[in-house]
Amino acid sequence: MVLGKYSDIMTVKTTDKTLQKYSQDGGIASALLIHALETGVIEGAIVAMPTDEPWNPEPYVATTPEEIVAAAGTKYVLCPLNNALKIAARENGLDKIGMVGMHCLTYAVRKMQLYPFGARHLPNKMALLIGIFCTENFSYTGIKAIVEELHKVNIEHVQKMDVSKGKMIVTSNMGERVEVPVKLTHNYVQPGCYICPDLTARTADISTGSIGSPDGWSTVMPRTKVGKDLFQSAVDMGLFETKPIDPGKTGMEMLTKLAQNKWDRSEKTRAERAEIGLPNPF
Amino acid sequence: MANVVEMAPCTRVEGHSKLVLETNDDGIVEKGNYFSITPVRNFEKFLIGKPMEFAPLATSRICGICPIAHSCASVEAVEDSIGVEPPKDGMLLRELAAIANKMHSHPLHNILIFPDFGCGIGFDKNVYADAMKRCQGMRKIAQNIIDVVGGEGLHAPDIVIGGMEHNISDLARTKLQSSLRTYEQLSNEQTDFMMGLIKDSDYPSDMGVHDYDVFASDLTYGDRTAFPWETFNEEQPNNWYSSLEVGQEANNTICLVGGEPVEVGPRARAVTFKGFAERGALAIQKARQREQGTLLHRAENILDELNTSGVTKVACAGRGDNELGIGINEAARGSNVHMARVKDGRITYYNCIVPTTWNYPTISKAMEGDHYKYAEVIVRMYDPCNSCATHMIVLDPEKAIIQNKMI
Repeated sequence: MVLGKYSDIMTVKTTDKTLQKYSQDGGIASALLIHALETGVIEGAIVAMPTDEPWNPEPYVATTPEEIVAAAGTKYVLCPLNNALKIAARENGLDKIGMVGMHCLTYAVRKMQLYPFGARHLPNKMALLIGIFCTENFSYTGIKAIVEELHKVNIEHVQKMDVSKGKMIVTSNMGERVEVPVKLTHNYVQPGCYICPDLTARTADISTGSIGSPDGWSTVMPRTKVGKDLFQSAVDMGLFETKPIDPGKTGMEMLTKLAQNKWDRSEKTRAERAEIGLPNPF
Repeated sequence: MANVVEMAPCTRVEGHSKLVLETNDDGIVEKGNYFSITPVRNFEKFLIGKPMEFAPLATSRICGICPIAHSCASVEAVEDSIGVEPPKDGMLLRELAAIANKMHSHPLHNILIFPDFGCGIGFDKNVYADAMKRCQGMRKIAQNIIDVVGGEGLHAPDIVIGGMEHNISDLARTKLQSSLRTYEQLSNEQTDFMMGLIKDSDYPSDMGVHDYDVFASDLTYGDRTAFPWETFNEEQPNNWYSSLEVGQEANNTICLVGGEPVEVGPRARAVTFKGFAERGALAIQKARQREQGTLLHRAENILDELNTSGVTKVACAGRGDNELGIGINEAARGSNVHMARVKDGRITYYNCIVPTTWNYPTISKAMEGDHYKYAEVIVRMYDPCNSCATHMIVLDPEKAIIQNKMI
């Protein structure tokens, strides 16, 4: 239940050397978007594009593989991608839109598709939703405080951020690698994440994330026909290297356990909120 | 004593309106009164004191059919007041949105008048269905243009003071160009169909002919310099309609040029800019059908001319010094005029003279001399929008409200 419906689950990495260089783990999201773009499944995608302010991306409508590569890599910061949905459909004229996002974003898109108030002509233009595994996220000031206060690295000098094995790892552009326990970052988590029950973006067409797979690989869960067909065609074209997910402690067990933890945390938070009379979104 | 024929509300027109016709014993209209009975909306009053940026957003809500015409006239009035001139590409996009607004409104009007030409119950179902599909197909394409250019098909938020909020992408332009070709095909078929209906109808050819002048500021968009400041006056209905009762019931003002009514709309544009010479109610419809080709041609030119990398908006340097600004947009039904005064970024005066306001007295006069059975048909040929045209609060010189209708 906590992982949602999926047709398959496996460990995957892209065979594209460029993407391996720029992507977070297996390069799945970027490779899938580029493949979808090149095969006409989408005409463009909404991505979190880096801006002049380091690690503070903005929603961007990418219509070329180069733009998608430029937006590759995880940014542990809130980025309101849904704000760009209308920009993509209206002045960019896209009829088939792709988007990459965590549960909060994909869930909002699905909800918008069901009840398209204020989203006229948008629902049928959402052609692909790629879900990203997510435990929690930060505001820009939050992630800046974490990096500069806990890791003691100026955010302008950060080359890569990663969360792995209970550590938040920051690599500076000088090659320095600083780790702090993830639990120290919890005070900076944006409050909405405590209500969110979904680690694996169950409402996406296909979900991916590093949890459950070794370094350099990603776990992939095709969920809908759109996601399944796209992934299969990418595999058939040799864009991905796949292997069965490890059923053990560092694989499926860990993914299920962390997803269950997030689910339980959500239920607990919602119960606490209900007890003191605060509204819950679901 | 003349017979009085009342029809209220008139059907298949936007908003609520009423006909009070004085006829002779043969049913020929001797005195026509056509007026709005739509409750007063108060837009011109509640805008006072509001930020100038609110004006196009609010006035867009005057009408669900012509929101773009109101937005455009409104931003132009405010820009004229504060002295801002949008960049070329912004103006091109704005004009394209306004053209698309007409391209969706004209087919909608076709649907409303189908029954006047026997196209409805008893008509060939397949032909009727095809005509409906064509009209809705055309409307869909036109609305999509506004979606893309204006950000929303109904109340476009991208029409802003200083220009347009966004440019469009090359892909969007290509798609719009492609959709215009589909529109052209549908429009040609529909125009042939409507012209056939008009030709086969048994309405008198001189139905609705009047001797009044026409007023149009531009063929496709609007030109504020054309406004007849010297000869224009706006009167209260009490002074104009044939009886005090009608005047008191009417919720519209009377706009006159040189003391006489004028006709605005597609025929007025065709007469002013294309040498169109036909007169009467059916001529208005013919001009409306032909106008779709003109609009389409201009839309294609705009897309060719548009620089998709160009700047579409300029910052507003000034915040207004209470100068009177005017914006005119040629809406589907005629010249839509907004006037505004802006001081320190806030509206101090606002007035709308919408197409049907111009046309009320003209329509009233146009049906005189015709049988009253044609009265509603004549009204519908003008495609009146009473919801837009309702506005009046009468103040005496001491600013005490002496008429305050159904607010």
